[in-house]
Amino acid sequence: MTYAARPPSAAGRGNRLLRCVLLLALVGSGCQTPLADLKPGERPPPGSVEAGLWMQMDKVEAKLESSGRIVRDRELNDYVKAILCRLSPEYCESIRVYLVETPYFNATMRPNGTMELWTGLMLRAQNEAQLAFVLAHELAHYTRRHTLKRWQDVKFKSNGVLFVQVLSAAAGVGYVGNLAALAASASIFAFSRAQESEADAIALEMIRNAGYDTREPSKLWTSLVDELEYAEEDSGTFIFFATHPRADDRADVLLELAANDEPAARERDRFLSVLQPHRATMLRSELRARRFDRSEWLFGRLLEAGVATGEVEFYRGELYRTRGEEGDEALALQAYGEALRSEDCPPDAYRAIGLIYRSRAEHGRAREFFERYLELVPDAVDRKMIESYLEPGEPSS
Amino acid sequence: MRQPTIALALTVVLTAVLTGCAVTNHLERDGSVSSQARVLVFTDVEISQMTASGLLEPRAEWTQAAEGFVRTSVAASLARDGHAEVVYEEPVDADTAYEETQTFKLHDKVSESILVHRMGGGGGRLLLPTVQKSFDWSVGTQAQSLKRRLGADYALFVYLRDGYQSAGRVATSLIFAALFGAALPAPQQTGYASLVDLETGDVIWFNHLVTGANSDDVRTSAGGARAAQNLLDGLPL
Repeated sequence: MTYAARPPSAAGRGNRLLRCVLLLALVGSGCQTPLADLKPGERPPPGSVEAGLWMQMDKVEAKLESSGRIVRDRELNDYVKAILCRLSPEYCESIRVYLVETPYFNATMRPNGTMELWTGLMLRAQNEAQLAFVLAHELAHYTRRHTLKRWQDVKFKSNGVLFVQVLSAAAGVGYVGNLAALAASASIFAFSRAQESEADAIALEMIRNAGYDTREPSKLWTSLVDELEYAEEDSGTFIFFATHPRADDRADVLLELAANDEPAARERDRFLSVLQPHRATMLRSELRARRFDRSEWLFGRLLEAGVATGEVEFYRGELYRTRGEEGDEALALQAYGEALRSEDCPPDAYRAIGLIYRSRAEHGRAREFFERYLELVPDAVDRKMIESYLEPGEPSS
Repeated sequence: MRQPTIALALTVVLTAVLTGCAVTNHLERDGSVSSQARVLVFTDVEISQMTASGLLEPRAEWTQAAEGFVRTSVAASLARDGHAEVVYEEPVDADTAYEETQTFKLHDKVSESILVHRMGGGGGRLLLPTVQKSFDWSVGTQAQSLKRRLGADYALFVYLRDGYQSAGRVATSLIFAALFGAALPAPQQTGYASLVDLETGDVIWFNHLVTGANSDDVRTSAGGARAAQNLLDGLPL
């Protein structure tokens, strides 16, 4: 059968329709007028779509503000705010940064200037330059009005899909509508990834201007990739439906962008010392997520970098004690032992060791550690419990 | 026995949706309420536009207008019955502000529970084992701090959500109806009002509102007032 002799088929009609739709989508996407950046202190005009998004986010912010998960420590909040102001003196007053106590690696930006920085990210950052990059990235989402643009993108594409679905259903080729829906959702995710890449590029420029070492941001992503690989975790969703580019791709692009830069400020010591009073809480919170492989990798890296050895060793011990798999008790004892060798060892290590010996019925040794614990923490909340282990009649007595 | 109840409920709601009349469904705690009460009023209103494909886009101007009309109507209604509206003033002290916010957030959650486990669909399948017959919900006695600080006897919470179709949505719906014989879903007016006794923290009255797509336009003063009156339907004050 020759092509000319072939009668028009439903599939042929579908193809033509699909081509029309793609053409329409191309033409349509060119019609969206480019939005100017938000000016410092600028508020959207009352009747605008953007004002509606801000209104909704103001309500979300009011709830966030009174959340029990917010880290309210003045010094830490001032420190983060100071970095933001060093990056962008003109915008930093438009942004409210909320430090959220949660062990996951993330930061978010809402269109009204609400930025969330999660403690799981702070624990993983190695220096101020890396943290500054994250703040700059989120700030770029704000100045570039990414939420509004994404909303407009979703609205436009979903309207397009509806249009195609109605038409194709009417034409008896409903599958074209489904294809269009799939194409649109892929395109919506791609749009979001493009925004992330744009924010990365702007952020790199921002930290360069602020005098930070531009080769640091890529390390944040490579270590995240290493952490996920160690835990044999998938480094994210199937790219088709991912809102962010792959971590390893981001690392590569960032490294390339910094290729011609000289080393600059990393501010590692300052970063580590400001975080110091909060690190124990962050490490405890990290363990609560019960992602033991990832935590094991993270603790290993912190120890390698010489960060708060006694504290991190203690929590490494806690990790093995909590995981409780075969051989973990020995690993825990070994980690607690390492902790004791450091000046910054939390006294809780003595109690932890005492408990292990107690459970092994090595009561003499248990007693030694319990007594040392009570000596170091005279007003321990569990003092009565520990004393009861030492009472006559108790095995440890 | 349960099936006819669901069918009845569905019929009532569907009738409301199709005809545009309001269905209110309120529950009340046993006991008496004071006359000439002092009432704190809180409103939470959000009015959206439904895009052609059915997304809800929040609109600040519409919301502000509607919230104003609702507030005015609630205040007028309280005044008519001899009660006084107390305006909520943010406390200066940060700790007090934090505690009061927690009370409001708890009230949001309690209201959600009442809606889901008491008033919601499912023909009673979601009833909680401990709150079956009695209407027994509370935000706790920390509500007393509001009473002490502001001298109010009750707090009245009014929550309203509504939306309007964009021109594109209306057109799409017409085309859809012409082609397939059925219109696309339109936004609905929903909401609740809740009265809390600030001495005990108990929710003493709760009203759930479902209105059809053809409800009055809350962006106008008459429509806003109508929605407020529907929400206050059966208020024991």
